[in-house]
Amino acid sequence: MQSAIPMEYFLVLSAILFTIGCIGVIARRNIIVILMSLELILNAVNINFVTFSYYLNNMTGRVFSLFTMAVAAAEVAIGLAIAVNLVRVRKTMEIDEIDTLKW
Amino acid sequence: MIETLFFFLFAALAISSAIMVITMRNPVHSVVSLIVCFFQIACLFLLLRAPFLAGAQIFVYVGAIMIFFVFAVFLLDIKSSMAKQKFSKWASYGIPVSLLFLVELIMLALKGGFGNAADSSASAGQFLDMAKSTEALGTVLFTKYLLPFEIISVVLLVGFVGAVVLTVKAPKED
Amino acid sequence: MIHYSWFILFIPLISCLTIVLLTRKYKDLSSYISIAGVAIPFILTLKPFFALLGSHGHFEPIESTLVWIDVPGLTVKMGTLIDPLSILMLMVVTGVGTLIHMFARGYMHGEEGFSRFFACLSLFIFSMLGIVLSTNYLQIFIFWELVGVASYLLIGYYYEKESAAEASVKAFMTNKVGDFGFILGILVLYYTVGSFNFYEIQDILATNGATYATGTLTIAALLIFAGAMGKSAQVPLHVWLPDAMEGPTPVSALIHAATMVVAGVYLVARTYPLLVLAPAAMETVAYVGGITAIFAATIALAQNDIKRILAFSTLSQIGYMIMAMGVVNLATAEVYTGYSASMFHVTTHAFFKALLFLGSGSVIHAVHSQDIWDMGGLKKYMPITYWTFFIGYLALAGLPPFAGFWSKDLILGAAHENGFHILFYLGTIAAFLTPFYMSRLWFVAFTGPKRTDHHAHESPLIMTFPLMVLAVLAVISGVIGEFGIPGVYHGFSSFIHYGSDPHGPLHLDIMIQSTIIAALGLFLGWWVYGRKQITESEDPMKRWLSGFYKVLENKYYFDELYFWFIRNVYNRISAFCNWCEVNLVIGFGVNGIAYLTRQSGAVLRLSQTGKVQSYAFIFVLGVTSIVFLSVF
Repeated sequence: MQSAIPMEYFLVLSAILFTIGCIGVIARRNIIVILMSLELILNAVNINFVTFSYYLNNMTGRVFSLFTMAVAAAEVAIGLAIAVNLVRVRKTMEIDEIDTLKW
Repeated sequence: MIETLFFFLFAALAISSAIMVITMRNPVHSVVSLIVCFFQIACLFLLLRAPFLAGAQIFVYVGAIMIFFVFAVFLLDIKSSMAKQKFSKWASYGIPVSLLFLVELIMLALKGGFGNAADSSASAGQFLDMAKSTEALGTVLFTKYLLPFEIISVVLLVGFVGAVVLTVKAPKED
Repeated sequence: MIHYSWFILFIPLISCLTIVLLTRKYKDLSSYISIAGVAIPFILTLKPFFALLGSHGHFEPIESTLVWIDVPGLTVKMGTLIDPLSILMLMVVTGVGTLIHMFARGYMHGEEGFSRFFACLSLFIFSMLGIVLSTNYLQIFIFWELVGVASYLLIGYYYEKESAAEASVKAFMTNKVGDFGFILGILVLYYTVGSFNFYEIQDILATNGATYATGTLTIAALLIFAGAMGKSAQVPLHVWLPDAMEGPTPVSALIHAATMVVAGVYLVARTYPLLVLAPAAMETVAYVGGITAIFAATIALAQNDIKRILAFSTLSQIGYMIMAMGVVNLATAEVYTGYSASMFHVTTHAFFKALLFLGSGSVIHAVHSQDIWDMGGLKKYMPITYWTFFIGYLALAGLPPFAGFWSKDLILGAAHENGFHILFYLGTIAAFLTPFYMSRLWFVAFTGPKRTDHHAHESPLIMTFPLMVLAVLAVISGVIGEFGIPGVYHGFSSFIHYGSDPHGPLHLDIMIQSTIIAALGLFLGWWVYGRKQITESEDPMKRWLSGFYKVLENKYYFDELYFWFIRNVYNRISAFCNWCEVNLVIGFGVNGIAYLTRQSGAVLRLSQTGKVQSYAFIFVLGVTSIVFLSVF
C-alpha cells in the first residue's frame, strides 16, 4: 500500500466539493460567484484525476489535471470578460435578470 | 496515520471554505474563501505525491485566476448587487437535486471497481518519490501528450486574445 | 462502324435542329433544309431498296446496334434494322414525305411560323424513320411517343385557334390510352420471352413458342395491339383522327393519311410472330379492323368538310389494313396472304391518299373553304388538280386498273379464302360505300358550275408537281405490285411476306365482283349527285337515311359518349381522388404532421426560459438521473 489514506476519502471529498460547486451555480444570483463555483467544480475534478493517477499508478491523470488548469484559466479570462461587458450593457450582475434568449 | 490526520484537516478546511464561497453575500469574501480552498487543494496534491501540480495549483489558480476575480470584483459595482436577494428561485429545487447527486457520487466512490495499481505499466517508485514524480510527468507531457499540450497552449492564447478583445471593444453606450 | 442507315435516321433530326437553332428567320432556307432532310434519306434508301429488288426474296436483315442499357439481367440495344419491311416503309415515308414537303413549301407560303412548320415536319420524319428502323420494342416505343409529339405540334400548328389546340390535346390524350397498353404489353412480352428485339423474339417464339402459355401471349399481343389501335385510330380510339384535320393539309396528308397512322399496321406486322401464337388476339385484330372499315365508311357519307370525308376514308382504309393483318386461318395457314396484302395496301394507300389530301389542299388553298358545298366548277380553273384528284378518286374507289383496286382485292381475297365471311361481307359493303361517298365528294366539290363566287386558280408548280408524281404512282403502283416487273422482281409479295411467298393465282371471281360493286357505287354516286346539281339542303342522303343521317353526322355520338364518360365517371373518380389527396394525404398526412410539430413546439418552447440557471438545473437533473440508473 502506497498510502495510509484510503482512496475513497479523496473521492468523497471531491464529490462534496463538486456538489458545493453545483449548488453555487444553480442557487446563486451573482455572476461572479457563479464563475467561482465553476472553478470549484473544475478543482473537484482535478482532485479526482490526481487521486486516480496516484492510486492506479498512471501518469495520464496528472497530465489531464494540468490541461484542466489551462482550460480553466482560459475559461475564466473569457468568462470574466463577458461578465464585465454584461454588467456594462445590462447594468446588472444578477444572472436571472438576463433572459433575452427565452422563447 | 499522520497523513490521515492532515488529510482530514485539509479536507475540512477545503469544504468549509467552499461552502463560504457560495454563501458569502459579499463577493470579496467569496474570493478570499476560494483562495483558502485552493490552498487546501494544493496541500491535498502534496499528499498525493504531486508536488508539481501543487505548485501549478498555487501559481495558476491563486496567482493568476484569483487575481482575475479580484480585479473583476473591483471593476464592478458590487454594492448594488449585494443589496439584492442572494439566492435565485432555483435554489429550492437545485439544492435537493444536488444533494441527491452527492449521495449518488459517494455511493459510486464507495462501490469501487476502479481497477488496480498492478495493472499499470509505470513503476511504483515514480509515485512515491516526489522528485521522480515531477520528472515522470514532464517526460509523459512532452512525449506522449505533446500534441495536446501544443493545442492547449493555442486554446489559452485564443482565450486571452478573446478576453482582451471583449473588454477593449466595449459596445458604445448612448 | 456506323452503318449508312444511321444517316437515314439522323439527317432529318439534323435538319430539324438546324432550322430551330440557326435558320428560323430565313424562311426559304428553312424549307429547303427540311426538304433536303427528307430527300437525302430517300436517296440513301434507294441503295437497300435496289438491293432488295435484286435479292429475289432472300434479303438478309441487317442490324447495326449500340448498347444503350447494360445492367446485369437487362441489355437493351439501340440501332437500326434494315429488312424488307423497314425498306418498304422507308421508301413510303421518305418518298411520299419528299413530295409532301415540296407541296407544303407552296401551300404554307406566307404563313406565320413557316420555319416552325418545317422544323416540326423534320422532327416528324426523324421520329417516323425511328419507328421504321427500330430493332426492338423499347426503341420503337420511344419513337412511337416522339411521332405523337410531332403530330401534337403539327395538329396544333394554328395554336391560336381554339379548336386546333383542343384537337392536338385530344389526339395526344387518345394516343396515350393506347400507348399505356403498348408499354404494358412490351413489359409482359419481355417478362415472358425475355427479349425486346424483334428478330430475337421471332426466333425464340419460332423454336419454342409452344412452351409459353397462350393466355400470357394473348394478353401481351392485345396490349401491344392497343398501342397500334391508338396510333392507327381504330375503333374505339378513332376519335382523334377526324379532329386532327385541324392541322395544315400537308400535315394531314403526311401524318394522318400516308405514314404515321399506318405505323399501327407496321407495328402489327412486327408483332406478327407473337400474334401467330395468339389466335384470340389475331381474331380481335381482324374484327377491330373490319368494324373500323365499315364504321368509318358510313360516317363519311354524312360529312361536308372535304378533309373530314378524306379522314374517315383514311380510317376506313386503315381498318382494311388491320383487318387484312388479322384474317389468318391459323389452323391451316402455311402462307399468310393477309400480311402481304396489308402492307401492299399501306403502300398504295399512301400514294393515292396523299394525292387526295394534297389535291384537297390545293383546292382549299384556292377556294379558302373546306366545305364541299362551297366549291364546284374546278375543272376550268385548276385542271391539274382536277385531273390528278380524279385519278386519286378512282384509285380509292377501287376501279381497275388503279392502285387501290389491287390491294383491296387482295385483302378481300384473303378474308374470303381464310373463311372470315362476316368480315368479307363487311369489307365488301365498305368497298361499295367508298366509291359512293367519294363520288359525292367528287361531283359536289369538283364538277358542274361554281357553287359560290370563289376565285379558284391553279396552284404553282411546286404544288402540282407532287400531285402529278403521286397520280402516276396511284395509277401504276397497283399493277407493278401485283404483277411485278418482268426480269426485275415477281410482285410485291415476293419480298414482303411472313412465312413463304403467298403469291397465288388471281381471285378472278372476287375481282369481277368487286369491280362490279365499285362501278355500282360510282354509278349510284353519279346518279344521286352528278346527274343534276343539287344544293346542300337537297342532299338526298338526309331524306333516305332520315334520323340515321343525324347519327352519322355526329359520328355515332362517340365524342358525346366519351364526354359523358369523362364528365360523369372519370371526373367523379378524379374528384374523389382529389378529395382523398387534399383531405387525407395533405390535410391529415402533411398538414397534420406540420400541425403536430407546430403545436408540440409551442408547448416545448416554454421550457426555454432564457435563464442560464434553469438550464444548469436541468443539466444537473439529467446527470443525476443517468448516474441514478448506473448506481442502482
